[in-house]
Amino acid sequence: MKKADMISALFLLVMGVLFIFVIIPQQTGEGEEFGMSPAALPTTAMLIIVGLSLILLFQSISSKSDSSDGPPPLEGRNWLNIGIYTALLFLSLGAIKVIGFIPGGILSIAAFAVLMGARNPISIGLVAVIPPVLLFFALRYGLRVPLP
Amino acid sequence: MEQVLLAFGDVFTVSSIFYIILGVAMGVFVGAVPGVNGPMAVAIAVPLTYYMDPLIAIAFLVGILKGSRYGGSISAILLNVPGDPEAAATCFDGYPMAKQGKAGKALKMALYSSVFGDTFSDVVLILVAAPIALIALKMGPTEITSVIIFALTLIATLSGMSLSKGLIAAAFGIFINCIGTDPMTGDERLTMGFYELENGIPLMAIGIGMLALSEVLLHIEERAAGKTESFELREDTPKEDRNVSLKEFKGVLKTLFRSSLIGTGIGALPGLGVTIAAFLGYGAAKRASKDPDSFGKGNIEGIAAAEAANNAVVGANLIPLFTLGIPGNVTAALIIGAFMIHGVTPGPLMFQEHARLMYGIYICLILANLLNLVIGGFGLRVFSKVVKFKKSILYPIIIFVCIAGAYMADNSLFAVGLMLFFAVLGYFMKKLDFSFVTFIIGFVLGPMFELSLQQTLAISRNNPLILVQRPISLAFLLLTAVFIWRTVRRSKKRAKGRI
Repeated sequence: MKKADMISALFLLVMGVLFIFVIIPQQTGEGEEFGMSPAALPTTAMLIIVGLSLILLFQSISSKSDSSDGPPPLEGRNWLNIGIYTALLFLSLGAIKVIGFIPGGILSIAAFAVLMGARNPISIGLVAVIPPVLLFFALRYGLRVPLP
Repeated sequence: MEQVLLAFGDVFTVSSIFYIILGVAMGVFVGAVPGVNGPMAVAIAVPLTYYMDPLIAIAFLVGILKGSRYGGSISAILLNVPGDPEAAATCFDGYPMAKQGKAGKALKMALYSSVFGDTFSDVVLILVAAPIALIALKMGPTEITSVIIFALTLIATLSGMSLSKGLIAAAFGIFINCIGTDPMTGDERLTMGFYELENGIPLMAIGIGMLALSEVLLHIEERAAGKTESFELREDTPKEDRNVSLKEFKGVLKTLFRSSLIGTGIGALPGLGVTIAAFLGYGAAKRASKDPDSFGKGNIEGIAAAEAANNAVVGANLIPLFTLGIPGNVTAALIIGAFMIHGVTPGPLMFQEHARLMYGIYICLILANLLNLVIGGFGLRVFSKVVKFKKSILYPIIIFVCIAGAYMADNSLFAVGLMLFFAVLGYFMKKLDFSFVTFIIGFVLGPMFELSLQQTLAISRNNPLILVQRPISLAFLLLTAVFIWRTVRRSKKRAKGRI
């Protein structure tokens, strides 16, 4: 956790500085003379984050590593896993946008089921088809939600 | 009195009762499936409540929450795998009882204890909420600002191993809430040119992403670390091993009261989790027992202690929400979202402006407990089957339901994209031990904090020192400082102990 803390503190530090000096001034208006300006709260929040990141960085540098640290919280397989699933999640979103709620839903559920180890084509088919169709009719005609 | 009678009329309608039954049944179902929990189900269900009356919406969500707390004990007893983390203490005696062929008795004791704990804390809520709200009404923006600072620090202190990380999460939640339109000037703020962000980030995109989808992403990674034997409810079990006798129930009554009191106390304080309540309740029962060695080997009192304590948190969690508008945990934060959808701002004014709704909610809370008893009792055989659902079938469906739920939050795929972003952020926060609970509560309290801070500065002519010039405000700020000091001292001691 020590190394992970150092990296996350550094990341937060850079992000905070970037927001305070570049993004917040660009993305907020001047405001009025009286009271708080629109930039005040986001800048204060980021200042707190920068300050606490410095403390976290100092703590992680000064603390001694020992066996109670355990394995690192993010290993290669975690990055691979989250990368694959994030890509598939955004692909599912794209599929729903392009080909619609039901076909996009069927494709994404089937893809996730296969990725998670389902191998029986009948159960994959049933699981992929029934929920999108049921949800579509329940939302579209039951709750009158306009779906893509 | 007239408002109470009207509230009874609102609750005892076919649609209200139908949605409470649906909520409780859904809750028990999701609670029973390992890896799926109550807050996840509440996050996904909140968008559905857009289309309901406020009373039905809250009753439905509370039904899910109450059902899921009991549901968590089903897999804990039959599989030795808690459906919710708070049901872990139920495993200690529940699973050994199932091994002894007393699964039915263990499940029924879990049900009765859950309902007892739930009802106890609901009664406390009903008795204390209005008087506390009366006091809260006397607080001005200065005091509210200090109370929010205190609540966020308390939650940050208690919800993780590191105070710095907890406070970073709270500040980040407040920062994310700033995206949208400035409440004073009406200018766009931090929208990065996306017009979809003008109204801010929908709470549901964050709730579903961080509570439901990120949890699924974490569970997918977990490999089965060795199988445990699972048990089923069998018809041929002797009657005394299937049912809880009146003598046995009377025997644990003292434990039920003690655990309910512990759970209610823990639930009323923002930031202290349900899991802590369950373990404290269990520990207290073991210490008070004449036969502490039998705990962990199938003592029915152990189940009663853990279940009454973790269920007593549900009603008590609503005390800070109803009286101060401050959510004590993520589920309460989501319930705030549901209130806001219907134009009701949680806080002390609810008792004046929406008295009928408040009485209706109280009646629904008690009714949901009774329905939990009926549904849990009759559906025991059905719910005990769902513990064996395959993850490769269940998780793809949950992922798709998350996508549909996020879409409903804003009727746009942009909200789904945001939900996916927050799911990934939630995954990293959980992996790196940054409290996502504090982040969500910071996000929910952001508007209230900004408004009260602006009002404070307006009445003091831009003098922030007013926060330490008013006695109540100063008291809360001093309490905040004490909490920070104690946490820093404790972590220093821990670090010294390691060296």
